[in-house]
Amino acid sequence: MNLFFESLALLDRARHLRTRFLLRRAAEVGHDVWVGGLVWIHGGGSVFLGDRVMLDGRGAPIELHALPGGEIHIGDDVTLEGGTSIEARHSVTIGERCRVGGFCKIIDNHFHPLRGERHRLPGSVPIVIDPEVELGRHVLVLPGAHVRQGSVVRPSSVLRGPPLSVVRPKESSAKAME
Amino acid sequence: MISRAQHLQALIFDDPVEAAERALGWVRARLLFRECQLGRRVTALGTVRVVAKGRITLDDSVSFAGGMIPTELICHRGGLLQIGAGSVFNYGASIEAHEVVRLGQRCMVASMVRVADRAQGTTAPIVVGDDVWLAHGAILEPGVTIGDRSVISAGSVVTQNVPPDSLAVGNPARCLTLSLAASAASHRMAR
Repeated sequence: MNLFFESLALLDRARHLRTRFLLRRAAEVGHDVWVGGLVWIHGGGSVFLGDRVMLDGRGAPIELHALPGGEIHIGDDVTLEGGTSIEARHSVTIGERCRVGGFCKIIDNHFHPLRGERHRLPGSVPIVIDPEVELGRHVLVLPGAHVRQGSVVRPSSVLRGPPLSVVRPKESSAKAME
Repeated sequence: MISRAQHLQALIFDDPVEAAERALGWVRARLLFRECQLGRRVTALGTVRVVAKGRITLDDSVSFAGGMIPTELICHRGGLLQIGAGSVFNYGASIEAHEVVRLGQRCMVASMVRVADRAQGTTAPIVVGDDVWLAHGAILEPGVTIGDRSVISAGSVVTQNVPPDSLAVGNPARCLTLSLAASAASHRMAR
């Protein structure tokens, strides 16, 4: 029996180490963060995870991509499901107790302009998702979107912000672009 | 105008990491697409799932980005899947050909794009023009033709033909005319 509990403790320890390894590139990690499957944090920006965040990448990996100068803030008690990808060049903020369904895409930059030279990076518009929002599967959140508190967004919706509210990139990202 | 050798030299000395990545991508592409007809400088920086029972042709400088979900190129028996020079793919895109799927030159295919020429029992060729941008999560239904320089916006489902120089939005996609002509002139050839 003792051996049983010892091996359980060992498994727990292994899980803890795995979580630490997967979240090694996050700038700040709260306590009791749960990670299942794969989570891919990359880019030169900073990712802040709140307490008791659940990253469920078991079905498909989760991508948190903060480009240089970009910030991703994930509040307390947030759940992200598999296949979700968040990309920030300026900032993406997800409030407390939000639930983000599988295969969502949250981007604060279109990455290519509609007109003119297609490979020049356009400006970013920050994204704010208020607390207690529920995003269905395959929801797309485009630059400048502000999702109000308690909204329930149906699957496959596209949320976009008001046009022409581009913010300047932060200084660090301007340097990185040079 | 610099020569190709100078360009290569600049790449290797200025950014050795990128040069190594691209060299590795080239080798990987040669391995992955060994059953396909391959142009020069095709690179695969991530995993690509290839089923080449029909004929797949990839022209010069086609590149596949790596990511969390593998890209799929599926060509069934008797099918033709053609991708024009300089097209770029993000991760998780899926192109499936039973009959004919043709992508033009310098197309940009974003992540999670679905292109399949058979759905709900109908099979019809899909033809995508040059300089087309398929944004994240766009879906093309069978029989659709997309004109040159058009943009299919994120998450749209295209059920009807899209004329050149237009923006397709929504599910089902509606077309808005956009003077995108300037984009073709200044469009730099993708690496």
